[in-house]
Amino acid sequence: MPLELPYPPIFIRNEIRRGLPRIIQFIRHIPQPKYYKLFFHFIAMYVKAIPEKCCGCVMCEVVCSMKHWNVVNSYRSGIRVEKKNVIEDVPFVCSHGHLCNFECIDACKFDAMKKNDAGIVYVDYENCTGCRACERACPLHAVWIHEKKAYKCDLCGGDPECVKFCSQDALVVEV
Amino acid sequence: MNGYGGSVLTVNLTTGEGVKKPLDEKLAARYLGGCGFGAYFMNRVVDAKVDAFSPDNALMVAPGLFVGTAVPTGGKTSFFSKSPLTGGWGEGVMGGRIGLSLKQAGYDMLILTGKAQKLSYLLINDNEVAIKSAEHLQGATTRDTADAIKEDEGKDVIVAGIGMAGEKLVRFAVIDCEDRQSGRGGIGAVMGSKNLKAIAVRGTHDIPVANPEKMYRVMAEAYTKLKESPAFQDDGKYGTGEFLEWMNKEKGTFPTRNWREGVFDRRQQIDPYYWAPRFAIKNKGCVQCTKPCGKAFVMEKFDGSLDGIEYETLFSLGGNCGIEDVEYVARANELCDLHGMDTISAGGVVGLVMDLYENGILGKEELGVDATFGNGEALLELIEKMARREGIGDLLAEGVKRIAEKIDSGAEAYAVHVRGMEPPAYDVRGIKGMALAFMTSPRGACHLRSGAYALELTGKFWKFEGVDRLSSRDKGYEIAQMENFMAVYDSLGVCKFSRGIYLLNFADMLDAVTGKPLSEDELVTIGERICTLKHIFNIKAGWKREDCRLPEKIHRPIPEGAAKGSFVSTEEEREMLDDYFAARGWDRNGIPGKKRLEELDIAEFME
Repeated sequence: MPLELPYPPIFIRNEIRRGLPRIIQFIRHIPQPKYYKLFFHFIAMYVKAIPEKCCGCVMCEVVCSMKHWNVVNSYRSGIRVEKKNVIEDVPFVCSHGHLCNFECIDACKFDAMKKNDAGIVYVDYENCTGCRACERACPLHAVWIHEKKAYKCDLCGGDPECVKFCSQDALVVEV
Repeated sequence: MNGYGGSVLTVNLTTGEGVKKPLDEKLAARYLGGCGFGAYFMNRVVDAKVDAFSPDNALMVAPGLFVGTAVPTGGKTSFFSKSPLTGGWGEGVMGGRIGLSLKQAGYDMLILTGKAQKLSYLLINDNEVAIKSAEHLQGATTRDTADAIKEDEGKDVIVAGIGMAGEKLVRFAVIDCEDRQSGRGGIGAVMGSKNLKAIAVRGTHDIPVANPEKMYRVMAEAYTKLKESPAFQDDGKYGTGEFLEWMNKEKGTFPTRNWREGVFDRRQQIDPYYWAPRFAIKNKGCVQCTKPCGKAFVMEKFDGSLDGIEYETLFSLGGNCGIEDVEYVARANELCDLHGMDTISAGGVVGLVMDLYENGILGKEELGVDATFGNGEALLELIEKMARREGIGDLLAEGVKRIAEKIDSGAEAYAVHVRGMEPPAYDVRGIKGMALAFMTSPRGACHLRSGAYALELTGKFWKFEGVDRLSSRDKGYEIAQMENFMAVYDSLGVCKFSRGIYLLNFADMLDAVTGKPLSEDELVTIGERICTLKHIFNIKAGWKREDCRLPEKIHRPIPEGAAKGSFVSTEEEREMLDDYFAARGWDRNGIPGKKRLEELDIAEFME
């Protein structure tokens, strides 16, 4: 029987897979005076979607737009479910750098896509012009433009509401 | 207007003109939305005497009041039309996203009249309305139709369309949106008669609510309540068919083999406790639902998958046709979904055909298949023929009542229908309140207009206690109240499976959504107003007291099981109807009295 190597934990696996570009990107985005937060940047959380469990009830869209804008409008939500067919419902949500290389921040020419101290990528609506550069750049299709503004997940400041209201546990917080 | 889209859209398909009118605030307060608006506009717009397939008949879509707000399980949308199956009130409720996007586009009511020149689809893009050619989609399945339109118009449009059955005017064709179906009684066929293949909607506006903070709090409370209820676990694991074994073994009221028996002896495989762990890969929910009961079912024997199988389908395509292999039931369900047919009616028709075949009234040369009870291949072939109206299918597509009339030679004794509508999976010989509910429901034999089965079988619900299902006494008031109760649910757009948790305690939610809280009594009055309006539509369409009668099979006792020997006699039938009319304040012939109509403020509709 072949010897089984121990399986490294997820963040090490991710680092290995992404390689050098990710590390360069990462260093570029550290706010310079706050080196002590380096560790927290490394493990900033994100909402992980599990399409195999998603039932397509779009409660996450409802809750998200309700929480941020006090109305229900799926076009103002930071998470969206695409109902592909009977057995495939796929939620799209930002990974805050876990599964991407912050392409949206690089693509934005107006300094509207920012990252805060906690590693959360958010939209600065004063600067956003709705040019669609971020929408096109996002490899996860998790940024959308509606009425000249970009909409994406901001993790509700660290306590995502969609996760609380997902009855099927298809959305989980992953660090 | 808080909680509403704010306008009513009328589209004349003949001329292609759309008229947008603001929604009357008084109207909204009196009818809430959904089926309330349907009851009002059906009486206003449609002449009840026209043929269901004529261009003068209208097809209406109305999202419930709570659609597009944050109320959990409040995402239901209703479809209305004059029914080609019963020739009276036609209605269907679904949980697809079409209502949400309609409301986001700003419409609380969509009324379609006239008839398009050629097969086309209606595109509503916020304020723009366009009628586009759908000739390339002729004969396409519901899923292909949605995919093709999404490819042309963008991924974010929501499509509600019909399949082959709707185009061919099968009298029990339904409308499909994201594998959720609506329109028992042939509303899909009405859509087909208008040469309309699909309605595609993109709505991007906000839906405002009166008190967002309260809304958020109410949502969180309701979510916790729903999640902690025992129904969440049962429905989540096994779907709506969870109580199939209980209905068979403990109650003996699972109609089997075209209502010959009340217990299905070969039910092991169609029981969700058997198939859910094997075939279902995940749950499927309606929009805004936090206790999904649908199942994503992937078949092994056949190539395909479906959203189901619901309890009613397990009866109609399973037990009613004697099918024991769940994969045949699933495949038949998928075929019905793809072609856009009602599974209850399709199963009722196949059950009748199998009964007639075994009794020698229909032969193999006419049918082309060996249609004995339990033959899965025959079931699939008959459904395929029905949807395409090929050969014998042309007759089968007319529904149980018309089949029995056309075949004659004693077939009427085997036909199970009330006013032309095939009944759902509650053997009313052992649930007498439901027997009355079948007779009085505005769309023919229907379990959802009253939802009294849970009350009858468990004995208590809401304000009723100690109800005896085998007695026919005091059922009138009970059924009338339950119909009012359910009309409120339909107009609010709330799922009926959460009725045990919400009851009629909607004051907080209404306060948060519209800013006008309504007490239980006020809601019941609104419910009664809606029910009476539906009945008035039926009267105008030619309804008579004699139409309210049960099929002959119900007058014969159940041969075995827990409800052995129970049946509904003609005297009981008459007694219960009298009781019901008295409770409603209608006269002996079922005509609403002027006094009651004035109390409800709807006297002008009766003229």
